[in-house]
Amino acid sequence: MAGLIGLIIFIVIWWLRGRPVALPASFLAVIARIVLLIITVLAVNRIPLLFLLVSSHTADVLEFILWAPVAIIFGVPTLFLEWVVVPLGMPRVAYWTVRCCWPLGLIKELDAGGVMYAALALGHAPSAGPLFDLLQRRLNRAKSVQGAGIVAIGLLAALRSDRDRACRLFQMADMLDTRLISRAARAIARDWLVVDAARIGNWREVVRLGRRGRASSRWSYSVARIAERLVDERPRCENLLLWLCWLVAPRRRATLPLLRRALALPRAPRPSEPERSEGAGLAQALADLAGALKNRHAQDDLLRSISAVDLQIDSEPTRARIQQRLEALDARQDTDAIVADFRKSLTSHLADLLEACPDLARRQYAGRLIKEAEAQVRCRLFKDIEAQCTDYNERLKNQLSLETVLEWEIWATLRDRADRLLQIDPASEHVLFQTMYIPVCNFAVFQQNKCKRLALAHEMYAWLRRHSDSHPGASQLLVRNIRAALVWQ
Amino acid sequence: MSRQDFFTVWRANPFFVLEVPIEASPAEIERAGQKLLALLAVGSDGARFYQTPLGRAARDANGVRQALAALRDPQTRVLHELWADIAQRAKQTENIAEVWEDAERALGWTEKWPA
Repeated sequence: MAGLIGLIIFIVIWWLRGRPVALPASFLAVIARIVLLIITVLAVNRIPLLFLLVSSHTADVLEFILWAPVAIIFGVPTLFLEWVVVPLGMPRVAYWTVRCCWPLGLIKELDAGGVMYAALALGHAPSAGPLFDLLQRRLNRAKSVQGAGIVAIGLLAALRSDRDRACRLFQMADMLDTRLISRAARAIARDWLVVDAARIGNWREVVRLGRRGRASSRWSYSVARIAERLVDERPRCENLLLWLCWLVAPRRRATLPLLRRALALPRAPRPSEPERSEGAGLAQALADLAGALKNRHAQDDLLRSISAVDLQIDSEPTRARIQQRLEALDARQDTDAIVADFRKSLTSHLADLLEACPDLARRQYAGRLIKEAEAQVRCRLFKDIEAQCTDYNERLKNQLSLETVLEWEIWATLRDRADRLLQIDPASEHVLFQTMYIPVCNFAVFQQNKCKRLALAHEMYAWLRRHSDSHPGASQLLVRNIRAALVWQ
Repeated sequence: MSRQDFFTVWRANPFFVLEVPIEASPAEIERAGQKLLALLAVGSDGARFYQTPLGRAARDANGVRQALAALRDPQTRVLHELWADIAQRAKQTENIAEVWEDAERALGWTEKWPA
């Protein structure tokens, strides 16, 4: 205790002499918490529990009652935020709690962290109102934007109902280096992604997101284990283990119906749906496709339906019917042209579908139409990526940088495009790296040296590094750049 | 993805928009279109929405005019006939592993998220 007080006096004297000590903010936050803990312990010691019941030491009891909430809020602000402020939907309180209480995980980006919790609270509030614009402005003014900042941008996009943008940002936050994002911020991003996948029935994605080994978070892991049961993935969890996972995870009441649904499934492997009859006609094949599209994440069903439509459009009965209708309507076009037009429009729809669900390209039943759609999407994505790389080159030439939030969003979009391309066609990694390496790496260096946006630069280097296996020289340079960005932090 | 959803495009099939069968004659199609345009002009609520085998959709006068124009061309009409001829599906077996409808409520969000 004496040592601690001595240290504080030493720092104060040094500061008063006009030579401020450059101590890291996290160190100061820890010291403040230790002091707070000591004062709380002393305050508690003054009041034996018995006296709480008899009011002879009224002043002490009153002091304790006033002091205890302050100690809790300042001592463990994250718990206070997550258990009280956010569920009650109090964005202003959430913002100022972060600003004043300095949660350790958000110490490097208090503004952005405040906006993150405020946006989270706003999602729980009955209406967003003018606060939304206020939060956006505060985020734009934030000095440092790292993991919590990205999550905050994503939450604000989600509040604007811009689901795609929110997903892109949360995916990036979920993959960020542990030194750039707090555990709480990562859990918010991942939980959002899990919920987004679960609500559209993409249970395989839920499993992928939730099961991350040591990096797993309790709730997403628990939902992932339930999802395994729902999609019948091996190895499946025993009932007891499923109950345990549910029990240790938060949000038990909300997850209980899902758990019951999973437990109600038969233990034996479910028989796969019977193959559809190939002779059922185009009308039936289209009906099956419509049914499969409603749950596009039941991918095998969807691919089977697409193959059936492809088969039926070229079948003899369909061609005869087209011929008959063309004659009846006195049309000059031939059957082949109609079939080709039908295929073209189906392929165009499939390309949109494939861009949204890139996993489709790698499934067992991916047929000719999917391959054609894949080529269309690949071309589309490459054009988008090249356009953004050109923009990076131009802005680098003119030394022009946008607001931090905007730069993060642009990078999230580019990264998302590149990741989708790699999911559709993993073999294009080499070409993709060659296209992106120079513009992105140079722009990242510009962001690091001139704009001092180290987290953004680090994220760009790290993404490039992950895809640089075929270029050892580039890989080494990127490793050095990653280290430099972290040292500057 | 800013591109239009597969279902949205499919629901905008001219036969669905005009609510005519695929065997309808050109005169029947014209009559149905003009009737819908008249109803939309007077602001009829019933004309603003239509049912398709793929679900409910909204229509406006512009959509009706486009549908009429599409069905006047024989080649385009045959193509749309193929897309509009959807068989009634046998009652689907309940797929227990479908969506989690109230997933966003698990995070405490007060509003449903957009599809």
